[in-house]
Order: sequence, then C-alpha cells, then structure tokens
Amino acid sequence: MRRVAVAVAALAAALLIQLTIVNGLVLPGGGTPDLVLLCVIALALVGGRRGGLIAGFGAGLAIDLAPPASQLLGQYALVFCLVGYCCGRLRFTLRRSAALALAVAAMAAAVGEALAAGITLALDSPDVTWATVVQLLPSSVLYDVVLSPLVLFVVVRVALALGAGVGEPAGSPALELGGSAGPAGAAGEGAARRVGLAGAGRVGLAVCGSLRPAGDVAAAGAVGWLSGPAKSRQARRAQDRRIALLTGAAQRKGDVWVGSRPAGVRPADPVPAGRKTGPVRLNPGAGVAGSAAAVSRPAARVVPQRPVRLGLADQQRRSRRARSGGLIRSGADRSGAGRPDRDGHGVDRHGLFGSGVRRISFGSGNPVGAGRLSPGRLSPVRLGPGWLGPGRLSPGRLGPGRLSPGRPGVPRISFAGGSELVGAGRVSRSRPGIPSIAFGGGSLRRAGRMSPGRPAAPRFRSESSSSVRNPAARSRPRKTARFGIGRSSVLHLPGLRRAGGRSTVWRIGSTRTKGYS
Amino acid sequence: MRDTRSSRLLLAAALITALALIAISYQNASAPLLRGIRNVAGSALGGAERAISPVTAPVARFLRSGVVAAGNGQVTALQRQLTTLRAQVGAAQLTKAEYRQLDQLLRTSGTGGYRVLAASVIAFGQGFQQTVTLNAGTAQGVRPEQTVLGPAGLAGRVIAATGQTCTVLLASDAGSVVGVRLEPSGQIGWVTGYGRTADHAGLLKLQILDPATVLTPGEQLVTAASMNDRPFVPGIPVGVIAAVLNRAGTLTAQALVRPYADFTALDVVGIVIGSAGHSPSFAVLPPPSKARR
Repeated sequence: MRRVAVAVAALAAALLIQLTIVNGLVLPGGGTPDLVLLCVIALALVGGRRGGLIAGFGAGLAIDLAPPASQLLGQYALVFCLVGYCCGRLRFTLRRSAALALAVAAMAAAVGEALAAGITLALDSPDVTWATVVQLLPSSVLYDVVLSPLVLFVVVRVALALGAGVGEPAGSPALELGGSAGPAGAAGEGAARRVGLAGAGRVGLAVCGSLRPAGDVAAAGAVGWLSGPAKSRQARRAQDRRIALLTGAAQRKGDVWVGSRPAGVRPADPVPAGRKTGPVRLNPGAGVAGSAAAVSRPAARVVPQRPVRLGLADQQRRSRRARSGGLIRSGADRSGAGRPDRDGHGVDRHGLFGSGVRRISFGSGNPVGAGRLSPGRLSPVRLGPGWLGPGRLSPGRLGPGRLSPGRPGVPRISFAGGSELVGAGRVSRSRPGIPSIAFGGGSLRRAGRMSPGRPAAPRFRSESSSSVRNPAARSRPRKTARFGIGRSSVLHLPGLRRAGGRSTVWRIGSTRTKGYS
Repeated sequence: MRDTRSSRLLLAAALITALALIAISYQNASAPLLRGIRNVAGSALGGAERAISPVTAPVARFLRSGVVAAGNGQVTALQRQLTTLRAQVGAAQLTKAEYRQLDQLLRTSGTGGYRVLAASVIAFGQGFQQTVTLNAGTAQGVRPEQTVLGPAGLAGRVIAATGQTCTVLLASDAGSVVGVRLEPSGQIGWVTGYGRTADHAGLLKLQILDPATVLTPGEQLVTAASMNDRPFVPGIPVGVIAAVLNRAGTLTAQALVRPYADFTALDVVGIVIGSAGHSPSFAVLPPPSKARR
C-alpha cells in the first residue's frame, strides 16, 4: 500500500515537473525528454506487468487530461499502458543484469517516444507533419535515453528502500521449476551463474526480495550493481556473503551436497523459514561435498545390459497415490508402506517388474522415501526430483540406475532434481561417443557447479538440501511445458492446457530409494 | 506475476478503454462526457499546477531564459496600474523580466484600449502541441475564445478554461489560424504556425487571399476583427514580414512572418476581457524602425 502511494506520488511529481518545467525548455534539436514515460518504464521494470500497465494507463490519461493538453483523449494512455506492460514483461532483466535493464529502459523509452509520435502523426495529421516528427523525434529519444538510467536508478533505489522485491524468482523462464530454459550445464554455466548471482555479484542485481522476509531486503541495497563494484577483497567477500544470504545461493563451489546427503545429518522435514538465516555451510563432520562420488563407487559394478522399459503411464497414478498415502518418514515403516506400486496397479501388476526387467519409474516429487529397492532386485533407474527423505543410498548397496561411466556404449543418464531456481536440463561434459542425457530441472546452485573434472558418473541428487533451504520451493504449482519467450506462449492460452498435458521436462520420481540407509 | 491471465485481461481492458476514448474524442472533441471528464481532471491537475507554480515558475524561467537581462526603466504613468496588476498576478515579487514584460504588455494594451487580465504561464503542452496553461480561470472572468496578448504582440487564444486555470493555444501552433490585416494596404489574410519545428524557428506563415498582392519584407500585421471580438479582438500586433515566399501556381501570396511575441519565452501575458469598442486599426503597432529588428 505504501509502495502504491509512493508510485502514485512519483508519477504525479514527474507529471507536474514535466508540464511546468521540462516542456517549456528550449533544448537543442527541439525535443524534450519525457519524464513521465521514463517514470512509467522504471516503475514497470520494478513492479511487473500489472503495475506497469496500471501506472502507464494512469499516467497517460493524466497527461491527456492535464490542462495544457489539447490532443485527443486517450492517446498517451494507449501508448504508455503498452509500454508499461511490455516493460513489466521484461522485468526479469532487472534481476539479471544492470546493463540489460538499462538497455531495456533506453529501448523502451525510444519505442515509447516513437509510438507517441506515430499515434500523433496518425490522428493529428493536418497539424503534425512527418517533417516535424522526423525533426523532433531524434532529440527527444536522445534525451530520454540519456535520462533513463538516472530515473531507473532512483526508482529502483526508492523501491528497495520501501521493501520491494526487484527480482522475482519465478519471473523469468530461466528461473522456473522444470522450466523451458536451455541447458545450463557445462555449456551454459556462465549464464546460470549470472542468473544465480553466485560469484557474479558485480554484474547481477543481487536482490531477491519477493520471497524473503523484509529484513533481508534492507541488506539488498548494499548488494549488486547498485552499490558498485567491491573495491577490496574483503568487500568482495562481504558482498558474496550477502548475496548468498539473500539468494540462498552458495558462495563457492562445493557448498552443497552433491549426491544424496548422508543419513542423519539433518531432519527430513523442511526447516521452518525463520530458522534459516545464514548461508549453507559445509558440515565437515557429517559429510563433505562430493561425497556422492564415494557413494557411487559400487554402482560402477552393476550395469545390466538389459532392455530398459519406461513405465510412463502409471507414474501419475503412483505419485498421486503416494501422496495420498501420507508421508513416510521414519525408518520403521520403510519396508512396506513405502511401496506404492504394490497395491495392484502399476508395473508390478502388469508383470513389468519381473526380476529380469529393469525398471524406470517416472515420478515426480514423491514424498519421502516412497518406494524402496529390495536388495535382491535389479536396480531401477530412478529419475527425478522428489525431495529425498530418509531413504538414501548407502555405500554398500547398488546405486540405483547408476550406469557405469567407463563402460563404452552405455548411455549415461543423469537426472537432476528440480529445485526452486533454474530449471535446467544440463549437459554434462561427457566423453566422446557416449550420449549423455540430462533430464529435469536442476537447481541453480548446482547447475553452475558441474565441474568438468568431476568423474562422469551420473549424479542423483537429493532434493533435501534445497528444499530445506527454501521451503517455498516445494509448494510451487506444477508448470506445463511452454513454448515461446517469457511466461506465455502461443500455445498457452489462458485457461487452456496445452496439448500433451504435463510437462515435457520429465520429473523422474524417486519411488524406490527407501531401502537404502 | 503469476496471474498472466488476469494481467492480460487488464491489458485488454486498458487498450479498449484508451481506444474508445480516442474514438470518442476523435469524433467529437466536445462531447458532454469528455467535457465533464476534462473539466473535473483539469480542475484537479490545473489546481495542482497552479499550487506548485510559485516553486516551479522561477525554476522554469531561469532554465528557459538563463540570464535575465536588465529591464529598462520607462515606468511613469503606469505605476499605479502596475501595482494593481501586481496584486492580480498574485506574485509578491516580480522579477525584472516579468516587470519588463508586464510593462510592455500594459503599454500595448493601453494603446489599444483593451482591458486585460494579467496572468502567468504555469505549464506547457506535451508533445507536439504549442499550448500553455495560465493561472487565471473562469473565476477571474476568463472564457474560451478570448484573445491572449503577449508583451509585444499576439500570443494566442483561450481554448479551454477551468475554475482557476485556462489553456491557451499559441499562435505558433500548427493548428492555429489567425485572421490578419496588412498594415498599409489593409489586405486580409491569415497566419498559421509551424508547430515545434526547428525549420522555421519562431516564424509564422502568412497567406494573403489575393495572389496578386505584392508583399515586401517589413510590412506589419495586425489581427483582423472577429465577430463579437471572438476569438480575436482587432488591432493587436502580430508580426512583421521577414521573407516573401513567391511560389508560382499558388492560390495565395505567402510570406514568413516574424512574430512580435516570443513564444518560447512567454511569461506574463494578458487575457483581453474587454475592448474599447472601436477598432484601433494600426495604432497599436510599434514604430516601423523598431519593427525591423
């Protein structure tokens, strides 16, 4: 509410200054800057689509109505609400990089001026001629472009001071769970890091306020491009720390669990949001980063050369059943209750789960440890996120679905668990000749962490660390696959689900892990 | 923004509203609905402009004119009237530029016998329009279609008035048409503006109905009489011919006119709320030597 009031006040001030001072200036080239347009652009970049749309329409209507106006009513309202809406759509640029946001603001200012001139030319044609427009437009655009960084800076600063979230994690396609972002593995590592601001605090705007308590936002002003580059190493470290604090991202490589977390380190239940204050750190006593490598060692032995069958059809049923069956957390009831496929449906029933058939179960976000792997059975290929609870791999067991990296001709499949930030199927740097398949939305902080020197074993990541870090991630609704730029697409009409139903980014369920540990 | 659907609906609603407003005002700019909206919003926003004008006007004046030149001291018989007008303007302290403009305005209007209401420019039009807002409205007796006098010559006409403010269409606007008479011959023609262009900076375009008229630079123009003195009272100096545009095949004789009023530096203006009842003819014009500047 306070932000709305401040936005209205800012627009009113911009309008009055524009009308009483700026429009009267005689500047070289004949044009004048349009402060109201710049203000609308900045507000839209901070406030998103709806905010930009409303601000643009209101400000444009005010210009159309404010006393010296003699143009047609609605001209500027039309132009400004379009500009505001489009800038709101490009809101994620503000989070991604300062240069990009400034470029967007400058571009939007130029487009807005051109649109306003064009509509004037079309509607007031006897009075306003093409020659006049051609003469005045370049200088107006120039003044706008020059002033846009200043206005954007001021608006962003004020918004931050008022506790606005500049970056919305769900605001961009790259930042969505299981989203349509491109691969952010070895190839896209740079992009992923830039998005995640891990180590890129000098470039990106490291503000991630919308899901965080307001207390974090106070620190946000000292982070990112608004505060300028860090001068000393100490300042840089402090900045990194703050970025990590704000975004939940790790400061360095190796700060999160790679592979499943050893048992008993943390409770499987998500920690309440209030408890999580600092960056996640290594816990040397309980396990180290990269422990998945040690865990996965035995897996290299078992690579059955059998046909792989995908049980795609039953995965929704099973996951639904698993959800409705309640969460199984304790070790005592691991044996039976966690096997949702035993109740008459699914692969078992149809004879697909025989001892000789390798099983791939596609599930999604199953609750803790649903499904277990019996020791005598062949290991299933287990795909998907599903924040892993107490069920986890023990070193002596067969790693589920771990295909030997060294064996020639065997495709490696690596599946990443979806997390709250970047959904990025990642392409690991594989050895030549072996196809490598990557599924799923990996979490951002891991996306950047695929070091090329790592052993090329497929990695199965527990989701628990990220869900602990950000409990809100699990409550996100599912996404459908999208085509196109941004959150909308040609195929995604409002109220109409896309043909094909669920996401094409398969989240591959971990229904069979409970037997471990 | 997760609610793409609702924000799209909002966008559609906003676009439709804007287009509908454009269509209505394009069809009939003085539709009752629009007039009501413009009146209400104009009163509010004009009131705001007027309220902050004590702060913004000096800033704008400074930015527009830069260094203010020293005024001349020819104030003798108009001293008393000036004091009255000062109260009308409402500014306790007049700058020297204002003082000079007001002085000139009073001499001009005094010569022609016009009753003027002094007002200050408080806002300027957006985009390509050449309009200004004055801090006098219907409460002071201002009505639409009244003549507005600059310090040295015609400034424009009132096109809209709210309670405390009025909007003036300057003679330099491309949509403004002013009927004029040539000084020695009394030929009738009209003057239009060029709008905000740098091509003919500060110049107006004169067209004389008789294509056979021989125009010479230095000839002066005054406003021609209008019915009931609306929108223009007769005899107000408009400008002096600066260049003659002789183009073969045109139906009118054309020339470029340098206006007496400086439209980029308007500050104190007078709204003519009454005239002497007779046309002053060419009496208000400055002496020709001064006109050729």
